[in-house]
Amino acid sequence: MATAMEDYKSVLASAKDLPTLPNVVLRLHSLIRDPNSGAAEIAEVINRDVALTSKTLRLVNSAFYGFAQRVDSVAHAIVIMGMNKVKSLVLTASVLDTFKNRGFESFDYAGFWEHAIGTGITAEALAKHLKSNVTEDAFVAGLLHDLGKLIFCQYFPEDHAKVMHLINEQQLTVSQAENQLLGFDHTLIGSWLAEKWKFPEELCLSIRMHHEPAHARVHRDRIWLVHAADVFTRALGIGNGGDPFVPERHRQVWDHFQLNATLVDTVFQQALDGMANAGEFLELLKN
Amino acid sequence: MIQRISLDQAQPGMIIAEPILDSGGQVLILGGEVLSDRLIRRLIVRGAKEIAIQGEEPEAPPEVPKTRKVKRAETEEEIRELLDLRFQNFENHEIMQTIRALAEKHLVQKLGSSETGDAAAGSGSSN
Repeated sequence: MATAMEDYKSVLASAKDLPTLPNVVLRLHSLIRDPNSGAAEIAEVINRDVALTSKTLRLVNSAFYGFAQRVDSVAHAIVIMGMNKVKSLVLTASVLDTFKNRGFESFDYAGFWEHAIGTGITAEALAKHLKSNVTEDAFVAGLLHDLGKLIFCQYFPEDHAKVMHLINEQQLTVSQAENQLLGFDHTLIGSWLAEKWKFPEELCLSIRMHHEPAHARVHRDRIWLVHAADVFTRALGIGNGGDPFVPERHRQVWDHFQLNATLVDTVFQQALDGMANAGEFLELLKN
Repeated sequence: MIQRISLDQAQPGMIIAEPILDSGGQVLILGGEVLSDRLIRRLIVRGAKEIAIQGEEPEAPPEVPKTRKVKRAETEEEIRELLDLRFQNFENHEIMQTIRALAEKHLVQKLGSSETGDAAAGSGSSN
């Protein structure tokens, strides 16, 4: 008998309407890794996708970044923000655009994305304070950490309904309820999609392991940043994480980052301030 | 006519028919009260699972449960109730209680500083 996991894999493998990302995103991942590629080349690749360029610049010029003057080209954005940050914004804009108007009735779509954006903002704020070398990627890792929940609800609505009942009846977290029903959870489904999109390994793993950070063997900083940011965002009640409970933070992560009340206090303030200026991110989901 | 329903089917406006007890057997509500969103949340926080309501048969739950939209906390008390729920598994957990206390501080401050709705005024719900 096929296991639930095999069933799920085959449903998603044959799904014709899975969200896709524009080619430019794939191209960017490899360009950024290539030490021979320069800012001009990267700007040129982005510029070829006119719609995506315009959406990326909407984010660059949003209240969230608060630049005094309008940034009207990708080349200009790279000069003031750096290549990695611009790549991160291109990826953000393409993901939000891909998922625009894909909401469905049984799912709090806006709440989901608020939580996703909040986790991205919090992960980036935390990374900056920790002087992490993955700061630019932290936002995207946070943004995408729960991607599997969207796919789960859309492609497996009956199981999603059962999970919701389990959450309500037994006061479980989403992940606990999914594991109880299926033996795996949304982190696995999300990482399948990330692999299909040919995302770099570190991003796939931060989606896959954010609920079990202690098992991470590689790319720990990224995975642990997302784990901590998820806990903080849930604590503040930003958006809708799918259940009303804060997941427990892992001691290893807390100790590794040497988190303390002063640091958490600062990150909370930045998360809330960031959300107050994050309207343009949510707008990209609408038009 | 009295109907027993689980708390996740409860809707504001329903009338409570019988006393509601918490898991320790203590009376939370005597009966006769009209349910409000706030009261429902409080009952969830206190661990009530099932309630008796007066009146017509409640509508059957939909096949696919609809998302409960996140509700923003509008008072300090509501912020604390939602935090009670969020942190219900961590009552004696020092670090989680520190996180909770900081979240409460920021959410209360935020409530005081802006009347306009924003993304983070505090919410809790299920998808």
